[in-house]
Amino acid sequence: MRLQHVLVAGLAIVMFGCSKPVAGPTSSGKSPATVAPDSGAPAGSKATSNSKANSEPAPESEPGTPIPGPKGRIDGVVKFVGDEIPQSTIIPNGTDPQICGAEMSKLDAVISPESRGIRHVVLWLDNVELPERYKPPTSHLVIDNLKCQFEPHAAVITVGSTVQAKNSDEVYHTTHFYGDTNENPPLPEKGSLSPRYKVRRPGMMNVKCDKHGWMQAYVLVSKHPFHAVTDADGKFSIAGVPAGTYKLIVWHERFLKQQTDVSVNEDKTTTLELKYSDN
Amino acid sequence: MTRHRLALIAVVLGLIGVVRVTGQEQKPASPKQQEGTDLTIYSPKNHDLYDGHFVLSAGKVYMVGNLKGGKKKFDYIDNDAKNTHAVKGSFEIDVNEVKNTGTCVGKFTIDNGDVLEVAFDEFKPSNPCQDGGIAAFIFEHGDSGCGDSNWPKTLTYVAGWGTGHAKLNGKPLWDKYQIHFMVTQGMRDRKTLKVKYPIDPTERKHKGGEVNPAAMQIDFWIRSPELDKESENNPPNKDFLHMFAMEVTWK
Repeated sequence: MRLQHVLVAGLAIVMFGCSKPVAGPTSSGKSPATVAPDSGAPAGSKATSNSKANSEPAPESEPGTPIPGPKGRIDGVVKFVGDEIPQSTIIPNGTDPQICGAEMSKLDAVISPESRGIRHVVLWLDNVELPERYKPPTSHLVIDNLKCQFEPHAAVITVGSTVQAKNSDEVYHTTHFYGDTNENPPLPEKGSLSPRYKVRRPGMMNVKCDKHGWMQAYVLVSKHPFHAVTDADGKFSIAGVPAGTYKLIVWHERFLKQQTDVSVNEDKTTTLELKYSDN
Repeated sequence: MTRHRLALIAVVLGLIGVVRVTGQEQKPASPKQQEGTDLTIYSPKNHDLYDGHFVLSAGKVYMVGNLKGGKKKFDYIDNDAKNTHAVKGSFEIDVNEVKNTGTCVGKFTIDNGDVLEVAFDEFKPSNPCQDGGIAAFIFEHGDSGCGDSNWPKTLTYVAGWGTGHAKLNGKPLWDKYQIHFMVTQGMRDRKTLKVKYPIDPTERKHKGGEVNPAAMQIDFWIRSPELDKESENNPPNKDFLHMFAMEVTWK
């Protein structure tokens, strides 16, 4: 299955409610768990992720270095096109089936049958020019082991942010952060909480439970806050983007990676419709 | 047109139809696809000559850490091959996966010349995928649903699970410990011994493939059943010994 990038286009350009240039970088369009409390998301920005329950203020959260200049915004949706909507992979499970279940979903194709929107798509701008000695706004992300799945399943944070693992199940889990931190805290019982780990390098962290193979999460660590994760209807929003032309990278664990060009204009919203298909 | 001619035309058209239908259902044979094979190689369960008997030897053996246990946060899986060192000895496997019987014995000269012996005492499954204690030609680890996911998903040629013991210099060291061996595709790089797992999700071209099908290796471990909840080791068992062999000989 291949991603077919269909840029329907930054034609639907809409005026912001807020006409004042934003003073600093923002991180809207992301999971609330990834938004620094004082990051100054502009009015009209929309958080479209799935991890509200894990949101918590963190002392590590910092607003980051302001990026001067005019800003715009990207709104969009990622949809599946094709006759048959793919289903998530189901794994027959023999590990702790009394707690987790005899069949478990990998959550690798969560697609709304009504809107055809694809959840858990991660999007980020690739070529943002950042000021010298730029520091992005940071946040704190808690990854919960809940009903033998990771919550959130996909998230975005910035370099300098912290991650932490939590166990809400009555079963032994680990939360193996492959990549930057490479930490693998054991979470032996319900209520277990790992230390906070600071992420220092950009890239995609693959998170796995060493005991339960279907449990995977993806955390994009970015140098800047211009990224998003799609919600249950495939919608996303990236606000406070410095005006300019960018490559937008679109990635999904099953449909893989694609990119498209996108232009952001001052005080305007660029609207995109991106599609994955069978072709 | 006579009735005779009409009947003849009908028969000919019918035959053409049969040939076409048959042709559509039959997959062409190729070097990678032969009749009656599901996995592009002979599927053992439906092969007349399959006897389920595997005789293998594991050489070029490496040990992760030592018997005393690693330092804090020690990683017995050691995908990064940071705490791996070569030891002398071999691991001999002679099992029948249909009958779930056989022997698995290893003898090694480890640190300071100590002689370590490890052996299976019983084959016993703890998961249905373990097929009675010895399983062959299954997918294991990763997101396969069989085994821990701290290793990549791999085609396992044969694997065994059960209980076993270890002796050090002829004296009992461990008894009734959990024990496992698996003969897999190449998880570790031949030179660096590192496991490339997981592959950067954003760089993957397809969903399979985190092992090297051109290589083969044998892993085995023995561990205490008890977990140490205070331990930060990976895995947090009270005792854990992990070895792997990069040279596999089929006998």
